[in-house]
Amino acid sequence: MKSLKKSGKLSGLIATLLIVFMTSVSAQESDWSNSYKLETSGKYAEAITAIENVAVADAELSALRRGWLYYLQGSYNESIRQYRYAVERNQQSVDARLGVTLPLLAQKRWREAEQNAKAALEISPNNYTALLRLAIALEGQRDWAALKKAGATLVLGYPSDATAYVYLARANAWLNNRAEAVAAYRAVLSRYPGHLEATTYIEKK
Amino acid sequence: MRSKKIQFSILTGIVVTAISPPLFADTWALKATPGVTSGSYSGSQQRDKISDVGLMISGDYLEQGGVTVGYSNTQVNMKNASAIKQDNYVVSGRMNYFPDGLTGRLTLRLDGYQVNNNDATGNTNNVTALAPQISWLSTDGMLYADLGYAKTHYQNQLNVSQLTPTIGFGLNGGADWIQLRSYLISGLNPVRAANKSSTTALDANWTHYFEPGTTLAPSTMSLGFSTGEKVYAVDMDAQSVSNLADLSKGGATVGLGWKVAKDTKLFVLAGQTKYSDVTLNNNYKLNVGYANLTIGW
Repeated sequence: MKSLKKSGKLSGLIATLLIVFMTSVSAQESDWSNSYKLETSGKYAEAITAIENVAVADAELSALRRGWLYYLQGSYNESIRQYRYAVERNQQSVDARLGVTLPLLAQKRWREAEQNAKAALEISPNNYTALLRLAIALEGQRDWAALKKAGATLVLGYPSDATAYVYLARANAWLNNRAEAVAAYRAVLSRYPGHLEATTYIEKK
Repeated sequence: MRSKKIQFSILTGIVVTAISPPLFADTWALKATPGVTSGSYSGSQQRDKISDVGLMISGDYLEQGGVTVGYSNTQVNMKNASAIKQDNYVVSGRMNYFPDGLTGRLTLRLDGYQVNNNDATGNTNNVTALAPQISWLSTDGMLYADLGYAKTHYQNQLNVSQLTPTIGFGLNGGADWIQLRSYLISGLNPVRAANKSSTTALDANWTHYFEPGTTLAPSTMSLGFSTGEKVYAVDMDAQSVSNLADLSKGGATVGLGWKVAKDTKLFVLAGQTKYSDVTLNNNYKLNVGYANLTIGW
């Protein structure tokens, strides 16, 4: 009789814990869901607040999301802080390395953005977004020789992409390699007919 | 003991990592700028020629800040007296901030100058200047403003104050840049400053950035005009102290720049400045040529 009572108490405890756990999981899911909905409607500050109480286990995801939302809000310094925190938690995070390039590029901190894009490429070589952000950072520094190299890598890995050819063309144009610039802009027009920058350059030359 | 060894190893590791070429190159942008100036005075009763040779070395850590150190040797040849030989030193530090509310870059800078020469009167020898500056550059790089201040200490109890409010703006998508800087100099001793207790001047500069052309074609051209009067000025762009000059009454410069290689630029400038030696009632001109080479790595 005593053992039955004990077993009944245990079952009750397990059931309570299960309910609490399920409720908590559901609440967590609801927090994320709310945050995504608020982001869609442009309420970035509220979207950040919505994930204030997420579990410690989700700290990395939370930092990445905050970094993104602060970036959208225009709070670039806080965005950088969140992404750096995410990098600290996970050195292999391509997400965090790419994420931090966004506020850095917005603040025109070209060299810091370049450094992070290169760090992302070390983890994930030929990553399209990393190569693109690297190209933007190099263009900002007017480092045309390095931009040409990045553009060539982009073109090699993503031969159907017009943007890759645009960066290659711009680098060659600034390096005064007119024939190579025209060839790259022609490649842009094959992939993006009527591209204004390509058309203008070819007509001018 | 063991703990000290570990601490030393960690410290050594940090230092070696910090200065190892790949990481250093990724984080620090260094440049050296050797420069030469040669000029001749026209119509001066006392002065004949001026020459200056100098070197500036500058390092910037990512976009976070940087330091510059510089040295130059100036020689002013006089007509009827021995030459004035002068050593000019500058140390400058800057920190960049990117406050979200200001949409741009805020820079706090502090320059320190020391000038030593063999001036027989001692009045222009052992000159020190401290010059803080706060500047702002908009995110799109089309607007600039700064406020500079300099306190220059001369021998025999002369302390000169200078305020230099400046604005700059880009035109034609950044192909042209205009900068206006006023010099408000006060605290002068009239006996030592052409009967002036304060002076006001305005420097205007227009720079045009050319589209890429042939290797020989210049990449920039600049025209500068100065109006008004200034004496004992501190030029925070050139990072120099005009401790030897008489009263400046304006002038003009024309400069050309070339991108010689990926990280190498050549800049040449020619200019004429009008001066007045009030004591001798002598107005004269200085025709000057200047060239520098900036090498980055």
